[in-house]
Amino acid sequence: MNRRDFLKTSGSFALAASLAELAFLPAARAQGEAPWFFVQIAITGGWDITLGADPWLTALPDQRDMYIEYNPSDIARIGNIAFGPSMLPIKNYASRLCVVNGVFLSPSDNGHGAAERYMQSGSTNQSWGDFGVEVLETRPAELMGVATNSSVYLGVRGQLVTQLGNVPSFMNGSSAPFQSSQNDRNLISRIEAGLAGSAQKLKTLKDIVEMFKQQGSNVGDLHHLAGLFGAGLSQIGVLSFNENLDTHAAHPGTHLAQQTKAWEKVAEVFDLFSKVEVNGSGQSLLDRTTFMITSEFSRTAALNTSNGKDHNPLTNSVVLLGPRIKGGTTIGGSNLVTHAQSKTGSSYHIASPIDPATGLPTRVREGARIIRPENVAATLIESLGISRKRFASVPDQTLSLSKWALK
Amino acid sequence: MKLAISILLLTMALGLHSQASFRGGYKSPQDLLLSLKEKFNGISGSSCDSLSDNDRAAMGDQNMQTGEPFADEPGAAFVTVWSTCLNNYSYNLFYSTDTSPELLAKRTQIVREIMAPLLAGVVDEQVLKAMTTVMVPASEAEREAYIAHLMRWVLGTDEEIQAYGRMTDPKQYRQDLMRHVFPPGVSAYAMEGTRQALLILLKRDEFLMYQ
Repeated sequence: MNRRDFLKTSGSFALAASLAELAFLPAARAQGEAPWFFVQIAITGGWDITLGADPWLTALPDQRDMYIEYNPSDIARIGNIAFGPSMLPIKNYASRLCVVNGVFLSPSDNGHGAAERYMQSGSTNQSWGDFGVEVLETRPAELMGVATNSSVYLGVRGQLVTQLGNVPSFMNGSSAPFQSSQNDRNLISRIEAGLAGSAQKLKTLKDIVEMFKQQGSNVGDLHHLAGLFGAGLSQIGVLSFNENLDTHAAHPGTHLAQQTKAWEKVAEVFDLFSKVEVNGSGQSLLDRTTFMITSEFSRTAALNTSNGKDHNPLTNSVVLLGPRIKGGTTIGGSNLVTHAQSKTGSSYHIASPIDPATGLPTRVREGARIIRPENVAATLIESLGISRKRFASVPDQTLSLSKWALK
Repeated sequence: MKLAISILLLTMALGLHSQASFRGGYKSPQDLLLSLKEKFNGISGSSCDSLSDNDRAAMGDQNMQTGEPFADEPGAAFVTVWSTCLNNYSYNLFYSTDTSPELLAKRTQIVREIMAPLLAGVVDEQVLKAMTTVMVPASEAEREAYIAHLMRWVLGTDEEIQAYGRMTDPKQYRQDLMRHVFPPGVSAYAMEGTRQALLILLKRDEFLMYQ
């Protein structure tokens, strides 16, 4: 039963309001365990994975086949993860990260929207919402629902969405709601009275935001997300970082700088989450949060005639971090097919099949598997401890990568 | 012909879209924003001049996948979005530092309407300055009359308010609101209390619902 069904069934707002405090409690906490959180981050525009999660590691390629702007021997390797130059801002978190390379979307480019939906949900069915929305469908919703700095794709779902930009007015407006002594049936007054009933959570939110201010932070959306999580007002975040990565022209230099900015923002989220303790548990938000970081697709291997790189749905990468994610891990990989090898005469960069026994790229086709977004989604469902049968958007027989990606 | 049919279908779709709202007589997101813009004389509502899809969903817009509103009635998400819009409009009205003549004229006109009982005799050129220094009336009767004026400006007459069946005793409500925004015994400038009263009144069902 989702939140909407629950409200329908309860039949009255008053009953719903009286039960609201129960609903705010995440399932795990209701069972006496500390809560967990989920954040999906989309670095929009289409990143160049050779500059990030899937850098070129062997001898410099022929630039007609693949353009790279670094010396492969300079690539930092920490654990089993190779950090392309743009991804260096998160290298301090290497021991917590799992990189999934060679994620195949489609044989041809279907544009930003379709690819974004697929990467963000693990499904090509437009009925399903973003992965975080589907996660929320499996559990009691908190007061603020899904928190976002941009927009959330809901599909057929009716989940609450809170814009992080609205959090300051929520904090300021909920401290002393006006209540008239006459018999008032005004709905908003009753909702505000219910919010005031969450005074302790509001206080915690304000305390966390104040802590960031005192640490010299210029408080913004990311701080408010950490505040909402720390206060128990939300457990699901959907973030979008747009750094103009769609470099169909003038790729060299530009894309690397922009993509680095995006990873710096991801690092900022990790840093902020590491500073907020969850309910006196001795653990930080970072310890309790599972992250999925994606972009809608990668970029073609070689430069086009405008010195740009176009959309490449043949291979992509996903970066995971979370309490059950096996850190320092890389799964899958990709291949460069040179212009000389290609039937079209143009080079291309494509996901490599993996050996299902090892999770490593293989050239043996028999029994090999191609990783697709739904395999990553299936892995995340298992990492969050959600029953595969309850998760509608990813069929429960879909192969997960848990054997290699989870502790 | 195909073009004409396409335009007709598109018009119908847009028409249906604009009619989407919560159940129970609440205005559609589009009409709510229009009502607010009209109240504030067309000044900017900042981020609320064009709401995101998610904010529109929180305000009762329909899910295009199902044709149903995302929620049956306003909830916490609605309060958050609507409060943000009210804050935006009220700050832009009372605290804007933009000195463009067009905006100053709009603000002057609307502030004169809202604070009319306190700004009698003030010439237009002085309205925006006077609004920052005019004091809350000393007598309780004057304060209550001022609150009654604000209620009329936002919600209508007592009879119109009571027709919605939400407020049983408008006089009691006025007195409670007066004590909330202009606490007795406190001498203060009237502007912030006025703004707070507007924020409360504009969250009333009598403003949020169709008649």
